[in-house]
Amino acid sequence: MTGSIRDDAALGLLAGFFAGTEVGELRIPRCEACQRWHWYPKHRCPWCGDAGWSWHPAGSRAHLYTWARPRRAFHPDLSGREGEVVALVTVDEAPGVRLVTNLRDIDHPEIGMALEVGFDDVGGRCLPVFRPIPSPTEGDPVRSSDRSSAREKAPTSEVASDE
Amino acid sequence: MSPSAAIVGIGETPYVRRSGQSPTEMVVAAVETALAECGLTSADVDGIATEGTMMPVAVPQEVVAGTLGIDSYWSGSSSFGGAGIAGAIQAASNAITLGQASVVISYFGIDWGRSPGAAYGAMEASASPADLIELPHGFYGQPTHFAAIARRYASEHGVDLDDLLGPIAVQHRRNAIANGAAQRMEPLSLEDYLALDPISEPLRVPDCCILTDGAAAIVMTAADRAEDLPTSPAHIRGAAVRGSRVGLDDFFSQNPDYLSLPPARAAVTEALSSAGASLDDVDVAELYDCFTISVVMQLESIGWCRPGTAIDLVAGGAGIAVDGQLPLNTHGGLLSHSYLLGMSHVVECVRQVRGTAAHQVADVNLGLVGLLSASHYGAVALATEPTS
Repeated sequence: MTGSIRDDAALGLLAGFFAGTEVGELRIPRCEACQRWHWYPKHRCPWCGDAGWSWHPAGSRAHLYTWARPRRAFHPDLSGREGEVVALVTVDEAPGVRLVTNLRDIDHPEIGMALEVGFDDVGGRCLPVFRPIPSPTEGDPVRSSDRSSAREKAPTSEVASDE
Repeated sequence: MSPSAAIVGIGETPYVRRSGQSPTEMVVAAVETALAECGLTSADVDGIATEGTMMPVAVPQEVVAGTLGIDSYWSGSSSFGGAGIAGAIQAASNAITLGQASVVISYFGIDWGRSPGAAYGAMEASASPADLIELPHGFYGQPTHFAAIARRYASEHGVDLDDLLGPIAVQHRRNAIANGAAQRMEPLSLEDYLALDPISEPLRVPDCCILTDGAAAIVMTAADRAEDLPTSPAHIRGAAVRGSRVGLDDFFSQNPDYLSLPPARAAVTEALSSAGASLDDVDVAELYDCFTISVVMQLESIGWCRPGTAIDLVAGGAGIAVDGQLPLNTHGGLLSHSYLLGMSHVVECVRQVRGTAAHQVADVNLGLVGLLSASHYGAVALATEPTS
């Protein structure tokens, strides 16, 4: 990524976000007046109009809201990255905030699954990426995925046993 | 009778992937056709209204005015993209009813085929966080934006996307073939659709709008003057534009009600209210079908279907066919007819109201054009009669 004039202007509002990613911390704007989180950063809190928001750590946990898997590069910078999982995740500690991110270490994401943040070089910038959190009783994401498909089938077998 | 405005002339170029013509050349041709159709000339024109973001860069009003010798004209524009096309009609209608202009032209012309996405350059000229925190992740390009929406819709409502979106794509292609002047007229069956690989999972190419070189134009004047012209007027009974607080930068990730388009309901309600009509009175709808899933979002946001139930209307395509419960995008829409951001929807709606469409709905009294541009929505209600 090059530092074009418009990138520099956008970076002004996002400086606190990248300051966080560089030290491995997910930071989101939260208003000092009304305590609500907002995203993307604005010059005023979009909820109460106060200018006094600041960057707060927003924890490391999120849930998968939705995802897509581009099979073409829709921008020259994305050439060679077809097939990656592009996701929107909701940040557990910052209600209402959806982050654009990539999922790692998973082929078959399930909406609603629990995720944990990590920080990687993504397209030349240090950005948050997310990986599945294995359930406490389960060993690894693959097994967890098997377990959840077994759960999905459960109602069918209940119906069958009722008959 | 209080003053009101009508669309009295329509003009189009052929819709092709590559025309070899500049957008200005195509617009001028479309305007000349529209004026000739209603027996007017550029000497009669004293107003120009256009979409407010792409046209000022691609086909500026002053360039069209200079080419056609239109001088000392009222100038108006409103909003951007599809909503801006509806907004231009609203601005023109207001100017005509206020007596600020008597004959107003509006147009949209583009060469997406030669330069896909180039016209968006003007809209992307300001600094955007999306460049820094969306593009690097690959959240870029509307097929991916709408793919994410479609996947969330399927999950929230427990709907199979093949069953929901396939029939929409197929019905739009059927309509395009019946239109006869559409850009995409190769047959598309549901089997063909299902056999295609995704462009951005879970969407396939026929779920996405096409890219078009072309232009369309309309001529508007006061309803009483329309009586003296050779064409049947399509009376502008309502026109509205509404926006939400999420903008072009953050709409695709931060739209609070992710599957809904609140401005669509607001704009359509306002336009129909002006027309003294309700959704049930709409005989034909030309909606902004940039993606099959955006059709679903509009059907549910505007209120024809409850959330999660659009599949009941679109299943098999019959409900949205010309003889269906809600005839939809009778020319083939952005998916198969042309990608003029809705100007060809306006032209088609005028034809439906006149009763002269190639693929005509029976007994049209009221047609609705609903045009989306992310966080904005524009609606125009066109009718055979000037008052209800």
